[in-house]
Amino acid sequence: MSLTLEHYLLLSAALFTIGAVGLVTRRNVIVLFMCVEIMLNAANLALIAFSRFHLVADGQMFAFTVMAVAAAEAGIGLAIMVNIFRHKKSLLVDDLNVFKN
Amino acid sequence: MIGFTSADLLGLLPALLLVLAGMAVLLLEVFQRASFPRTHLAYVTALAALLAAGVSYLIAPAEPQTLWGGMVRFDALGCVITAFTAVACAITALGSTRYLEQLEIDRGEYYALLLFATAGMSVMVSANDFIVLFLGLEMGAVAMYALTAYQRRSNLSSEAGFKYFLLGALGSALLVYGVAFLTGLTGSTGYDQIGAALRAPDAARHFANPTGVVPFLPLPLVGMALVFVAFLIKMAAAPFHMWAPDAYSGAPTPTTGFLSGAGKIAGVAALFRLFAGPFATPELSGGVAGWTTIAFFAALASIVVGNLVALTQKRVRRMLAWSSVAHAGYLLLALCALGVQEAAAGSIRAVILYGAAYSVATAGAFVVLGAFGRDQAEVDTLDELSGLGRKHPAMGLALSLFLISAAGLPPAAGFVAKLSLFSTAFAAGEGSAIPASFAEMLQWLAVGGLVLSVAGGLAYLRVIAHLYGRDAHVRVDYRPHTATTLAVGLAAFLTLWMGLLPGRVLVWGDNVAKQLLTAPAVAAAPSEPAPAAPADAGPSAPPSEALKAIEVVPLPNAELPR
Repeated sequence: MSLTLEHYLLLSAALFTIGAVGLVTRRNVIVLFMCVEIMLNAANLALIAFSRFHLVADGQMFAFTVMAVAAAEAGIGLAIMVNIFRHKKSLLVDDLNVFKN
Repeated sequence: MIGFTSADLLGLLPALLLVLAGMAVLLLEVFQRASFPRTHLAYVTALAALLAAGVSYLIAPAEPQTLWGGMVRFDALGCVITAFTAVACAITALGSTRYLEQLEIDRGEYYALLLFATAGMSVMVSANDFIVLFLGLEMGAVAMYALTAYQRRSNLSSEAGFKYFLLGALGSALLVYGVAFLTGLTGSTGYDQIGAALRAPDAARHFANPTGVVPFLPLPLVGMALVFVAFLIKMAAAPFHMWAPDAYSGAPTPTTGFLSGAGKIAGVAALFRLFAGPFATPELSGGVAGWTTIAFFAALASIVVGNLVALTQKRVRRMLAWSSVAHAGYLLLALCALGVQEAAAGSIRAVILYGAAYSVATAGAFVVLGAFGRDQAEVDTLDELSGLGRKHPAMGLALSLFLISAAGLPPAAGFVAKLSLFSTAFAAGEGSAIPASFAEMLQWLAVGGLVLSVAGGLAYLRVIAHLYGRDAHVRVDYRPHTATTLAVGLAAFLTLWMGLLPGRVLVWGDNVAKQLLTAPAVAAAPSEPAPAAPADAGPSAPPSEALKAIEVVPLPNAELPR
């Protein structure tokens, strides 16, 4: 049996679900960020699979763009997290509560 | 590698100007002493932004064109929205300098980020390809994350930035995943190709059992829904609005006006381009199962939640944040009307009017709020604003004008915008193409939205009542500055001008509607060698039959579409 588009899409859906579930259940902001990255990469996988399926390179170009943009985003995100850690000495979402009062 | 012509560059000239100005500001920042005030950078930024706005107004083409090998659509929508966001950027930049000085965070990066964000919005609105859409969206978003978290020493700002960042990144992931499914139709990311595939005679197959890959799941529909949800997150529309109140009250005050005004307008304009173009298929837009219904429920939720919660807020910026959720709802109401053929042109005109009024008034209101404060804190509660209108008549009057505009009351621009929006939504209910039950729902929402917007207007009027109420118990300083005065003056002038003489903006709106609704014909730029190459590879080869082993197929070299 060979690998078909279906397999890639199912793997991508599984990764996306793992990311989404993690986003809801985990408490550490870095893990939350990792979950979003998993979702992005799941999307990339689907893009590349479709691209290969249709033999059109658009999807692969998009995947490269997504990677570059995700790196820029990670730069900003990690900088914000470092800043939060300086203020809170903690990276748990439960401690992100300055707006509660 | 295909080349590009000067026409391609001209189409993106406003965005290019903004990016170049941002780089220039960064360089200026490097070559000056740390103690030197950055006011002149604010002026440079404002001038560059106004220049970009002027240029995008001047170069607006009479006929829509596609540039960059079909990846960018150069038309009135892109030009008009670029102009609005650039003006909002200029107001914000001018209004920020004194505020940043006060907090000792007056640095050139701030202005550069503002310019980059504006350029991103401009690119996003001009996109005719999901790659360009994503690039523009992220260019704007990444700059906005940094701006939101810009006050590094503030706990609030960092946390606001993080919340915005996480939800924004989630939105990006949803967008890319959605685009992946749409790409699955033909393999192409272009709007035109995807639209053609969705409109193809055999398109119904895609919605019944799309690629034949995962049975019972209409993948293109899922893709459209994901793209739509991603935009709901970015626009802070209910039920994806939870980040907005925190982000808006933690971000530097003048930035918030830009984020909630210009950001929302650019987002909704990009949505309009999507739903007037590739997603405008009869099956999807007219029917009850189409995106019109999703937009309807998102609009309903946003209008109800935004207006009612805004009424309960004691803090001004949180109140404005919640009512911005309601504004997102009104814009989505216009999107519902876009799905009805008879009301489509009216809805586009309404959104242009609304965008003009809202982006300017919001930017102005937050600039005024940022001009008040004591020590390093800013005015936050309604009580702190008490009596400020009498102590500082000009600022009080300007803030009242912006709030009146946001509430949609007569002398200001918001009135015309809201009038046109709700009448369009009501007229859409009379459209013939939609089922009677849905038409009735749409009309009820238009009426209910109007009633609720009156309720939301009370929240604004309460602020004005406080402005002219008895004096505050707390000392609040006004920080005067020429740049602030200029910013507020510009915003107030535009708000009044568009409110009293809306003719010019109406003409823009009609022009945008005309260009957006002309069939997305094969307006191929001369530089495009073979526009249809990727499109005919897809639909003609039914994916369900072509489900072959991936790794066996060699990738031909000549298949690169662009």
